Amino acid sequence: MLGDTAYKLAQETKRTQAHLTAYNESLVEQLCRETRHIFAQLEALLQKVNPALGRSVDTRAVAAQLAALHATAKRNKRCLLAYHHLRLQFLKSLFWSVGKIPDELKPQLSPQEQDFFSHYAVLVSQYKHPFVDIDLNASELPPRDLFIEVRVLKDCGEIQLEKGSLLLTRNSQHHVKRSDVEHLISQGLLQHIG
Amino acid sequence: MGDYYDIDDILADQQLNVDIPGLATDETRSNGDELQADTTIELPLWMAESLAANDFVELQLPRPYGSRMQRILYASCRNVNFHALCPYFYKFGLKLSLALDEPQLSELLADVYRQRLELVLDAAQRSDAQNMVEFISQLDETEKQTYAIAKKSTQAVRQWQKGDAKLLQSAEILTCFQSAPS
Repeated sequence: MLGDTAYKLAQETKRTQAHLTAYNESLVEQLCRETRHIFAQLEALLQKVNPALGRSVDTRAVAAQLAALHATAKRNKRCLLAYHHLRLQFLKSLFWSVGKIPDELKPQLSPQEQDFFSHYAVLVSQYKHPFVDIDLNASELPPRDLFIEVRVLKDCGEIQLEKGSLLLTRNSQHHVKRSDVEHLISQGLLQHIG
Repeated sequence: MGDYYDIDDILADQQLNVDIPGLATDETRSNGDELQADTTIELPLWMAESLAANDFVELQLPRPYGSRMQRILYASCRNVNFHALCPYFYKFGLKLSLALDEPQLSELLADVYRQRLELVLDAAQRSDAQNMVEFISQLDETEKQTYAIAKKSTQAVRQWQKGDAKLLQSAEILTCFQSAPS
């Protein structure tokens, strides 16, 4: 049935909302092929009704066919675009909240998507360039204290602070300046405990 | 109508097929078999709409929106399992009522939504979430989204009352592919 592949992709897009799955290249390609095939069929049909050839065909039946095929092609396009749009949206919000692609996510992305992420990062850093003093990635929660207490959830080695460096080993607790570790908390490496 | 990229909108188009009596058209399908005039077939809405726009076909209401179901909804809509009926009951119904020009259907849907909204919001504020699983599974997608929003705001209020709302949280997006940090 026409449009079934598109429906499969649409369902996968829906699931992607809750849980980012691996980029489904085969389904995308299948859908592209199907759409190209539809285009060929459309062309053939148009040839049929070409008055120059002088053949008598039921134009109304051909018109119905054309409408059905055209609707399917539009539908395929919409499903493809929606699938990619949602994934790119995800990557963008990942950039703003975490700032990098976590390692466990990398295999889920197509090479193009990884390219997109790094190009997007370049664009944003160009945009940020005129405002050096403002950290656009900073948390939107207004701070109550300059210093906060954090617990380390995952080893993240030594980090550089304004005053010297600090070794973050798992399950240790530290009293640090909030702006130094905000990004580590949003990456899920540290836990804010007070 | 609706956002071009909105996946819910796309899926709503694919719901239960619309019954179509192919009036006075020999509609030929791509695979070569011909459909004779006056036969009734089911098509997904996105295709039916574009065929109906050119008067190739005449649309009929599919069963979950038929007069029998409408009578049931008038009587009581609180125990109807919308998820089994059609996971996009409201969105699809709205599209249908526009496509078929049936204003009373959209009025009925609005009324049903209002009545069920009470139950949904009530459920979102209860603390015994486990007992609500069965109820939630009967909701349509729109209601599920409403439920999720209501639940989130209830939790936010509780957190604020406890006073630990000021703690920095890890990015919400991480939950999409990680289990909870150990």
